[in-house]
Amino acid sequence: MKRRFSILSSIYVIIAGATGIIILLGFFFNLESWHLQGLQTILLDWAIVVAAFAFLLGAVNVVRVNVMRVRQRKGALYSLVTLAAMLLTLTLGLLDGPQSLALQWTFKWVLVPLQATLFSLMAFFVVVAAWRVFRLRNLASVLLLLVAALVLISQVPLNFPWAEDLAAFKNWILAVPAMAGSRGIILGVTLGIVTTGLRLLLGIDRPYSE
Amino acid sequence: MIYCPKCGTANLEDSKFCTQCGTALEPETGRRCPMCGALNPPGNVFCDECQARLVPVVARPTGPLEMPAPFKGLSLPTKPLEEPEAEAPAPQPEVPEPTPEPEPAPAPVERELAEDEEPDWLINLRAKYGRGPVEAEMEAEPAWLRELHEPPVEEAEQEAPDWLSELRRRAEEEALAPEEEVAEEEEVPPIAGVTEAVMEREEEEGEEAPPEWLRAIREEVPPEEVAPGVEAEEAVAEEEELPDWIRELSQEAVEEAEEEVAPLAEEEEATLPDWLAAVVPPAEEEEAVLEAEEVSPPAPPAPEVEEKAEEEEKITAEAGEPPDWLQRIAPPEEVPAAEVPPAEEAEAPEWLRTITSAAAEPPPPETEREAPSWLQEISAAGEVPVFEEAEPAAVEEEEAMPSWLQELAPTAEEGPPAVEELLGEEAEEGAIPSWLQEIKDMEPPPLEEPAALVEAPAPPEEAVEEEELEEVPPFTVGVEKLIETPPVPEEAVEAGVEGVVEEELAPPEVEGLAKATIPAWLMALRPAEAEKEPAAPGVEEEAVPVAMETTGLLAGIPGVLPAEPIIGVPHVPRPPAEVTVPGELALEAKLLGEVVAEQRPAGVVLPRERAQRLARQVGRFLLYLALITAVLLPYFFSTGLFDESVPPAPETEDFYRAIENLEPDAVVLVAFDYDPSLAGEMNLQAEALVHHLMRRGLKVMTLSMYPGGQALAEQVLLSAAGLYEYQAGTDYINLGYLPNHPASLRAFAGMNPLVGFSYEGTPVQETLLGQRISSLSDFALIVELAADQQTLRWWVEQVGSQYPNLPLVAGISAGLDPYVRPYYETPGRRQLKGLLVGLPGAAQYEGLTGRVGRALDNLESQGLAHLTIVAAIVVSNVVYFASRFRKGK
Repeated sequence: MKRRFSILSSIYVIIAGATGIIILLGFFFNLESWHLQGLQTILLDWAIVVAAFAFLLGAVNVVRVNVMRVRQRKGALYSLVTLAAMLLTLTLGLLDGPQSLALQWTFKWVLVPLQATLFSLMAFFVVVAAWRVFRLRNLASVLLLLVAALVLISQVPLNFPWAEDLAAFKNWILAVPAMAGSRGIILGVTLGIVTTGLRLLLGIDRPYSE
Repeated sequence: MIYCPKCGTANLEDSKFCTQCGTALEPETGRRCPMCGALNPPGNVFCDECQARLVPVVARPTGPLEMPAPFKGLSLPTKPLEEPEAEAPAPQPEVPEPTPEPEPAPAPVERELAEDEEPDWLINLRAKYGRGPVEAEMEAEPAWLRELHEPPVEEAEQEAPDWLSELRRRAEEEALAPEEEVAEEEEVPPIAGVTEAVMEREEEEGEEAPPEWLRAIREEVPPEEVAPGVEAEEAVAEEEELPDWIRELSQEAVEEAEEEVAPLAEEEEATLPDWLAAVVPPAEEEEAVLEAEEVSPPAPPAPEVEEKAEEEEKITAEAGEPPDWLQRIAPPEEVPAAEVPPAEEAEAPEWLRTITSAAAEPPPPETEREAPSWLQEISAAGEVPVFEEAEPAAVEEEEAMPSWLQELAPTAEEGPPAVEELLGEEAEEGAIPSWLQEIKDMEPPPLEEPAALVEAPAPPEEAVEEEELEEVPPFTVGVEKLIETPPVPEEAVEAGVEGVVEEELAPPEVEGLAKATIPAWLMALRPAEAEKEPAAPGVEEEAVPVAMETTGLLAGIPGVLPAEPIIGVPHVPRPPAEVTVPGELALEAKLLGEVVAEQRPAGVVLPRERAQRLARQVGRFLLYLALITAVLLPYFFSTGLFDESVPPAPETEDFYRAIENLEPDAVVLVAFDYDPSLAGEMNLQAEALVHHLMRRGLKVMTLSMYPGGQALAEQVLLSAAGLYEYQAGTDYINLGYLPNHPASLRAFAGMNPLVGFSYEGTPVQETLLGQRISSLSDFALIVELAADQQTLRWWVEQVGSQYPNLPLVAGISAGLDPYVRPYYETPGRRQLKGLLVGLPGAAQYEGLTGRVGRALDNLESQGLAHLTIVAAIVVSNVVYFASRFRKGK
């Protein structure tokens, strides 16, 4: 797509490219000798502030959405509970800080158990899925089932004579086939990151101005 | 003069554009063909390439460049609306005669009409309905003459006017200069001559003046000038030339005449209408009448009756016995040709002399040569005697006939070959032109023409002798076919010829073929509309109101534009055809519809569905129960399935050695990058790690890129700090939350010194431990406890790349093993010095540190849960194959 030339967009490209290049140079050179270390630190601090500011935006959005649901009477009870919990946590944190006893108690006995419980339900889902999905319909499913079963069993040290062989098999699976696949994925992601970075530095992609 | 190729206007020699239409004129160096665009020599009348006519057929204008503006887009033949001048000269075409090249087919010549002219079809329509501007004028004409001018609308729109005008023109030309025409036409091939004659006739009739006979009628010449003797001759001649549809139209006149006709002995007087009978002069005045006939109205009704009588006689002779009513109409006695003196013939009007000569003499060869071929075919079928009479002129005929026709036509001595012979001789068909062959093979034309033939009164029996049939030219075979299969018009039924026609219409019975019968089931499905009684063939449906024109030239004429109301009627889709279903089938269909439409009542569950649902619920409950049992069972007693020694994995040993190799009082940075959802797995690693660090006296600083991670770190630190008497700010510091972004890690890596506040809100630089750290290089080890591949990668990329000598180890969730292991398995220089993987890694690490923690207890529960999942997979496949095996049986 051919873009129109404008001074404003050129300024955007120059700022983004210069920022990216300065940060990138820090991976290859000692910026202190170039008196660019301070500039890099300032830019990174700005990035941290901007990233932290996203939390504030998220909090505002949560309030807006739940207030709207309460007005529309769509799950108003859940939205009211959410808004009340959010307001209580924010109040406790603002009053006595994150290390306050009340906030620590809330975190330890409310947030952690709830999240752990929700995650532990995954074990039941996995069992049901294994019962209903893992069917030996073809060769690929047979291979998948065998490997999954052996890796699951070998995750824990069995008290069997062939436990060592089973552990060696699991290590081989993880070190050779699984690592080959994961390396390919990592290399692909890295190449994508490099490409995206170059497009941003060269001004081909301008997510900041569009 | 240069004639405009578009409008035909005669322009001056040097003209570049037409004075009437502005069309660019070609120079005299050549004539551009309007059809194919080929350039022809200036003298060419027809194109050398496509044989299209180059010079339009234009009559001599009455004045220089006074040609009226033509009607655009009309090509129908016309006749002048206004009264023509009586002294108008005989039509003399100004255009040169066509070249003797034969044309394959008479090309239709479009002629533009003058403003003062009206097309024939319009005049005919007005005459038919007795309305319009020419009503008074048409009423002056006798009925038979109007009928003669009233071809059916369809015929008028087609080609009937062309050949009719041709007949009239030829009659006029022969009357004017018969000797010159004969001599001239002997040099012209018949087909080309016919074409040219038709063209010229159109021009003469349309632009010059109407025929004299018509003018005479319009001028209301006293009927006393009509010669009855000539009428008989004219009847014979016209009968030979008039087409079938004319005979059909005159059928009504014949029927009307039957009521008034006297016995056949007095046919001339008896067949005349009253008005004409009154003006018929006695035989002694015949000569005087002929002298005055140049301006007198011809065409008495008697020849029409005679003509149709001859026609019907011929047809009836072919079909069988003529009906009684036909026999009552005796043909008039043919007036011998010798009775018409040549001198009188010269003085007679053109059309009358033509007809007279046709009746008195053997039909001149020009008749066949000039008439269109299709007309010859049609007329030959009913006018066989013409050829017999034409035998005396055989010499001239043979000279004028084209070669192909001479081959087909029999010699005078041999006589014409039989029709059957000609039909069977394919070799001779090859000699026939293609266009004639197509006419022979074509299917019967519209029903009016053959119907007219059937309706036509039968001629006297003596006119259809066998000798005459033998003289039927070969190209009349197609006409016989047309005559054989005409439908029965109502007029014919009324006239009593239905018997003859019905025999002809009866489908031939084919032996060996049985009549097909429709099966009963198909009859049951037949639409109800088909079972309705069809309307009687003779009963017409309800008459559709015909729109009548109220304005314009067509005012007062109904049905002129019949397509308009049909187009205007909005399309209404026809309802689907009704299907009559027998009673039993209808009952079954009704029951089926009720069953299909019936829905299960809400809340009603079939027993089988209830059993299946119950089985699924029970199976799911059993799975959940097995999993819960497997998880809880190790808390009550040991199963003995697992090795409690838990041999450590290599990556676990590396992790352990990385911590053991640290100097005492070294500072270790631990990142709790996981949230409470994975705390059940990751906290076991963190607890084992923190215990190991504190047991060795290492200083600990923690942070997290998860909001909940800083709280988890605080809990782990607090749980171990009391055991090892560690003090916050001195021995350990929780740095709190670091935004989850690579830039924050990069900034943290470049932080020099550490700034900010601890989790408790204490400035880091105000703590003793914080003062020891000026940069990340001051840390002895970095431990990344990651539940997400992304945070681990950030640590490797943003921190490990900047501090390559700073050792980095990681404890990860078991699900990240495939993604994180490459950083540990890096050949040469590992990016991760050690690795703890999941709960087994924590248990192994506890085994290495010698601390009995929760990891070992939970490991047995996890192992039993894994075995339960594998067992579920195996059992489900057994059930699956068992069910397939049962279904296979």
